[in-house]
Amino acid sequence: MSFTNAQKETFDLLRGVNLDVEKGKITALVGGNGTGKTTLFNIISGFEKDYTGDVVFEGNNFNHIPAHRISLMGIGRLFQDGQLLSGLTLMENMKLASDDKTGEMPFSSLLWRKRSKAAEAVKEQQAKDILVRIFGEGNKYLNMLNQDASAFSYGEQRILSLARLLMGGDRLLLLDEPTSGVNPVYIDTIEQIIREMVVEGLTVLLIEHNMHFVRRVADICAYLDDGIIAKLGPTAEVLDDKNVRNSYLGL
Amino acid sequence: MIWQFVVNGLITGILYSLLAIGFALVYNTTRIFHIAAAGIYVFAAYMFWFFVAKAGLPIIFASLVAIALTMLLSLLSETCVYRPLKNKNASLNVAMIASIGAMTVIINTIAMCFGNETKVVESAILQPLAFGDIIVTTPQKYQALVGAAVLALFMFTLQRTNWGLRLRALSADETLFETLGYDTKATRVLVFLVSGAFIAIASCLTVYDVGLDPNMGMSVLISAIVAMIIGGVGKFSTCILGGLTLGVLQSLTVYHFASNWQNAVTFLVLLILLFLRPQGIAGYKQRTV
Repeated sequence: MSFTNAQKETFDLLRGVNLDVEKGKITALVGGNGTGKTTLFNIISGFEKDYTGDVVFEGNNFNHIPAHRISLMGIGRLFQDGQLLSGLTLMENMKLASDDKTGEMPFSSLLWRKRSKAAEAVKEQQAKDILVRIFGEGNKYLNMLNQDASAFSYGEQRILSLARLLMGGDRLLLLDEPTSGVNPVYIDTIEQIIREMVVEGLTVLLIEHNMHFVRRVADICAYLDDGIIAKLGPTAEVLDDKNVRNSYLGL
Repeated sequence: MIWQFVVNGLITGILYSLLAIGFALVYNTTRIFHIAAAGIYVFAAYMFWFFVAKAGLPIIFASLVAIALTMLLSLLSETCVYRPLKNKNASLNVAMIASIGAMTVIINTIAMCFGNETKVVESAILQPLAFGDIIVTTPQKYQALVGAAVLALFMFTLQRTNWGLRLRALSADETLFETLGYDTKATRVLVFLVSGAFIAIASCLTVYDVGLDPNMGMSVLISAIVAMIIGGVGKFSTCILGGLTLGVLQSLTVYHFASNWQNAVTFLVLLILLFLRPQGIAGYKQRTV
């Protein structure tokens, strides 16, 4: 895929990316700024339509499918800058991510009150269970479920956004720089959440610039350079590769 | 005497709130400055007048038909104007210019079909209600009761139903909304339909009292937009607070000064208010992350 800038110059951004993401593993996608990592995520999750090639997930071709349908087919995403939805409480944020979309029509809560209430109760319990599993019994977030999202700090919003991904019944998670801009305490929590995701059988593909973090969590590492996957393999092997160290890490 | 003006202001405020919600539904969820709402408001007024004065339908049926047709026109503004522009990645400024164009086309078409002179829906003098010194006219009674009931139903839907939650989520972040598995396009269809209903209800209730002409839309829409801004942009409930505040403020200006000072004093007070609280009365400063 290519893009054209304001001066009408066209650049090839991704040219023949071939990446198999192994099921149940954590794969890190690393590479310099502007190499197209986030663009690749946009293609997979349906936000970028202008490309050639195939995106295949569990044998199904995902080409040019709308983003919301890709989400419903089991691919969740954490954005680089997207956090919790402001104006909504923590519980509302969690419930919104549930794969049970019962009660979507405007007056279904009134017409099928009993069914809607039962579905809501299940979602609320699921949200609480996830928070307990990640942060422990009696954690402070259980008492902050009705707080507006804007009441939480950036780091908290980041980890709660990750926790929200566990609501959706997804099978593949695309995490765009989960540790960006958060303090070391939250980085440990993020690591714990990602490990929890894998324990639950999820597959994780993450973009990350924090190489210590990548070494700790990723099973496999893909190095994106000059529009192609230049190196793919076990994390330590890729990060210790001489060419990768020269071109990306500058060592 | 002052209480009479406060009551008048509150009833006018309900009408502003209805139109402000009609505008905010589109603005908050799509970020499009939906100027075409002024044309849609005029369209609703003329449909209501046509079905009452020309077709001879009872007022309740005429208003229901006018609301239904206005909802369709509102949806047309999305399907024929905004969505094609969005598909072509046009900027929001382009969408606003297109919206002004749509408003102009609607208003001029109405003027061509029905003429420019002021019309009245019902000219009979109806018995007003008296609560001590306070008098409430029959149109005001309908405006207060129907308007308050619609606002209450909307607030219930917004806060207590999943559809309301979806609406608030789409207002917060369209991309994230889509990523969580919700169809933005389908939700926008509903948003425009409901927006059309609110604009039509505000219009029918207003013109039943004061009559109609093709150029009335813009000034009312400006008041509604002001109501939305002083209440606090980004939320729907604040439109009600802003609408009531604006209505009472305008009414008290008439009481203390004169009706021709209404807009000058009102907007001066609002300017001062916005200097003190740029986020609006009930708006909140977003945490910077």
